Parts: sequence; structure tokens; C-alpha cells
Amino acid sequence: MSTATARLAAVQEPLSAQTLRADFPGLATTVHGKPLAYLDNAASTQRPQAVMDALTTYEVEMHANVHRGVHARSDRATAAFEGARERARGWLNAASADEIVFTRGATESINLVARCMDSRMDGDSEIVLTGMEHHSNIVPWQQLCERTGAKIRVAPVLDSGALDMAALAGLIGGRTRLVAVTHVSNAMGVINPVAEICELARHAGAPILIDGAQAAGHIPLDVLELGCDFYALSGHKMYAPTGIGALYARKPWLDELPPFLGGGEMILEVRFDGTTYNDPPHKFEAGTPNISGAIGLGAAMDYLAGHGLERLAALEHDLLEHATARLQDVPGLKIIGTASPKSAVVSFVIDGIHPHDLGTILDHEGVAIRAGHHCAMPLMDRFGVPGTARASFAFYNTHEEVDRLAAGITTARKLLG
Amino acid sequence: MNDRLQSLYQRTVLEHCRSPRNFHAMDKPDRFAEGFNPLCGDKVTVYIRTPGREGVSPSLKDGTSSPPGSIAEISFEAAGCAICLASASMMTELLGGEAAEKARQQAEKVLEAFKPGADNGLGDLGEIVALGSVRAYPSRIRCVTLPWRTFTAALDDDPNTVSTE
Repeated sequence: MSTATARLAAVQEPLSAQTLRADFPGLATTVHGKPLAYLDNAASTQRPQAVMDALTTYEVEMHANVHRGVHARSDRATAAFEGARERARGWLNAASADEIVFTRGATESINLVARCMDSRMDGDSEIVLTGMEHHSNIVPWQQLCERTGAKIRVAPVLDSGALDMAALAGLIGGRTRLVAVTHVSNAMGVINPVAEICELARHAGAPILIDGAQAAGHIPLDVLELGCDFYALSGHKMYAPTGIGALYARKPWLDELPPFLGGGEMILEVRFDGTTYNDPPHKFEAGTPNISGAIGLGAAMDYLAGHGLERLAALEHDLLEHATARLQDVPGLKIIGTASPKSAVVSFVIDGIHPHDLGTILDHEGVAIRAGHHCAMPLMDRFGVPGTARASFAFYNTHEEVDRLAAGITTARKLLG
Repeated sequence: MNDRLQSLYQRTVLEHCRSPRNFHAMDKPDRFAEGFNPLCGDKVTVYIRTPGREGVSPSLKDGTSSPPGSIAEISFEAAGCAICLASASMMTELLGGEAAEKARQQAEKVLEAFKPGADNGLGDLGEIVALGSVRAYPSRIRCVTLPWRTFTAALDDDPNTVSTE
């Protein structure tokens, strides 16, 4: 066997959660004396050793400010930082790395767009959202409406948790100045047909922003194929550090939109009688950026690409099927969001057991889930619940952890039922 | 099952949760307030009837007649967890029939006892002592305090929704 063939064989070997777990030191810990079963990945994922190593290497070997040093460390830091931008370009299949703006996360990415859209809005403008958006894809648009008089239109969610596409198609029209929709519902895991929605927006001549916070670490992305104008992602939901994210924006938008924040880095020349702004993406990155975070994001993308995102996604889909089957059997348990396709998220309510109590009881079993409204209060209202319990999986989770979740629910029913 | 968990969800707490006392809306309350925990979406409404206004005026716990400002009647509605429901239910039992100022002092004592790092006694506050274990769970303390903060807002006629944040 040649070396190249051997490498290929190694890559094609079936992945297992057990092997992958070894890459995540945080998973090998205990909670209340029980091994941790971390099922809160939609809130934040754990970091692989490769990401931690990349951060350490950066700190030891290259930390300095970027883009302005004349010394070797600054050159190395700049190369690594811009290298991370190229990784993000590749991850999204953007046409150019200049279309990638580093931000603090998806929230800041969305705010950046919303803060720069004022001149395109007036009292006749409409912004189309969906009923399953995270608060971060609602509030910035409400603020934009307050400033400009624009109106928000909301496409409803069906009982299955799927988006009402017919209603959405009816809402997108001549007054639509922007469509903002989540790729994957953080509260339910339902995956929206974003390519189809992009087509609707394009047909109406409206720009479209996709909130990819829950998608970017789980679904292969291609912004060129999608045809979206903006795509927002968060690092810490895809195995990278907190405080780093990215905004993809098509180049004409970055040329046209005014700068988001003023300061260093985003300028070419400053005089008291006027300032010349830097070219995109730097025009939108005022101040010293989160250099180590960006490098960590690049390392996380390398880690995921090294294993193959499709193969990791297949592991997650298997976990979703197992969890859905196990939880469906629990008496009095109702899953919120049953539409297909879904990301590996199971959101549920149980008769007589409040999600918060369930969360505390599961925590004592070592099982970490999220309980609450998941920053999606309008969606909770839609389903008539104050909140849900949400188990969200990553490729490093196991069937045994799902079974511990089910057993913990039985314990809670005994205690509180 | 874990001892700490048993202590958190002890029999008194579960009993109040399953059969909450004074758990109903009040027709024409003299005062009421709404409380909200934005972290989990829990909502509590506390209603009080005070003599001197519309409604009945039963005698106070100590046998005296109820002066203006006493808590002649108290009830609540809630969409909340077991801890929040039990806390609200215990609260209505403790404060119902008390003079308003004493009720306020007791509410403030409970809120003080559930501040981060506090470990002062709950001994003279009736069944509230059963909620003492919650102090070991920082993320759940708001579940205890929300009804009490809502009660003090009702007493103050505060029209704003009380938030735990």
C-alpha cells in the first residue's frame, strides 16, 4: 500500500464518538461525581485539543498586534490571522477572503448589518423574519425599525416546527428591503430550506441574511450556491473559542455599507477635516481584533475539515434518531419541532415537570442540558410553553449518554411526578 | 438518589408544588404585581386584598382586627418550576393575615437570606426553611425569590413588571 493510499484508508475509516472524544479533554471530567454527559452543544460546544494547541502556539510564538508591526512576531501574527480569514472563506466557499469580517459572534455579525442599513430603510420598508428566530435575529431589526420607521413582518411556524413557506412567500414582496432567517432553529433544531428562501428574496430583489450560528459547525456550507447576501456564524458553537465569529457579506455590500465602528484599523488616513476608510473587510474591523480567537476559529475549521464535516454530521444524525426514539417512548413527553430535516437537537416538554427542575435533576446525574426559552420567546409563545428542555448533540456524544438522559428523565418523573 | 437532590426536592417542597395554597387569581384585588424571570420565562402574579379598601377584612393572626394595610387575603398565579411554585405557596401561608409592615419585613428577610453567599437562618419563617437547600444552586435562587420580590412590588403598588435581572 502506498503512503497516499494508506492515508486515504485512514481517512475513510469509520469515525466513532469514542475515538473523537479523546480529542476533547473537557469531556473527560465529572459533575456531581458522575461522568459528564455534555448535551448542551447548541449553547456552546467543547473545544478540541487542536484548538487549545493553536491558541498556545499563538501566545508563545507570535502574539503581537496585527497589520501594523514592522517586526517578525507581528508578521507571524498577521499571517496567522489572515490565514484564519482564508480558512473561514474556504469554510463558507466565499469568492474572496475580503468578504469575511471577523466579529465577536453571530450576534455582532447581525448587528453589524442592521446598524449599517439605516439609509436603505424608510416608513414603507419591510423586514421579513420568521417566528423561530433567536432574539439576536429579532432585536437588531426592531432597533433598525425604531430608527427608520420600517416594519417587521413575521413568517409563521407550523405545528411541526417547520417554517410556513407559503406564508413566507406571500410576505416577501415589493416592500421587502431585507429578509433575515435562521438556517437552523436553535430551539428546535429544524433546518430551514434556506436555498429556496434565498431564491424568494432574490426574485423580490431583497437582500437576505442567514443566521448560521447553529448550522456552521454541522452542515457543509456554500454561500455562492445559496446565493445569500450575508451569513453570520459564531465560533464557540463550532468548537472554537467564545468571543469570535464571522460575517460573510458579498463584496458589493461591503463596499456600499458605511463602517460599523470607528477607530484604528478601519482607516487609511485620518485628518480632523476628514477620514478615509480602509478597504473591506478591515473597514468593518475597528480596533485590535480578537487575533487568538480568529486563529482558534481557523484551527476548529481545520479540525472539522480533517475528519470531514459530512462524516461528523452522519454521527450526529444517528444520535438524533436514537434520542428521538428513546424520548418518544417517555410517557407525557412531547417533542417541540418534529419537522424534517433536523439538526441533532431535541427540544421537549413533559407533563407536570418544569424544564428547570428537570435540568437540575439531570445535572445531578452528570447530564448537562439547557432548560428555558432558548432566547426564542416568540417561538415559545407560539407553542404555548414558557420554555422547554433541550438536549443538543455533537459528534462526540454517545448512545450511552442519550440513554443516561432518558434514565435521568425517569428519575425526575419518580421524584416530581 | 443523591442526598443533595433529595434535600432540594424534599417532601414539604413537593407537597406545596403539587397542591399550592392560595393558587388562584383574585377578583378585584386591592393591589397586585407581576413578576418575570427572563432567564427561564417563569411568570408570577401576586394579588393582595387589604382592609380599608373594597373587600372583606378578616381578623389578623394575633387576634386583633385588621387595620388598613394588613394582608387580609393573598393569592397568586404562576407558570413556574417546583421551587418557584413552592416558594410562592409557602409565602402566601406565611404572609396572609399579617400586618403589612410585618409582611414586608418578612419578605425582606427572605430576600436577604437568599442573597449570594448568605447563610443566615430561616428558622422563624415557617416552612421556608425547606427551601434553604436552594442556596447551594446559584442558578435556582431566582426561582425562590421571584414570588417575594413580586409581593413587595404589589405592596408598593409598583405597576412595572418585576424582573429577576
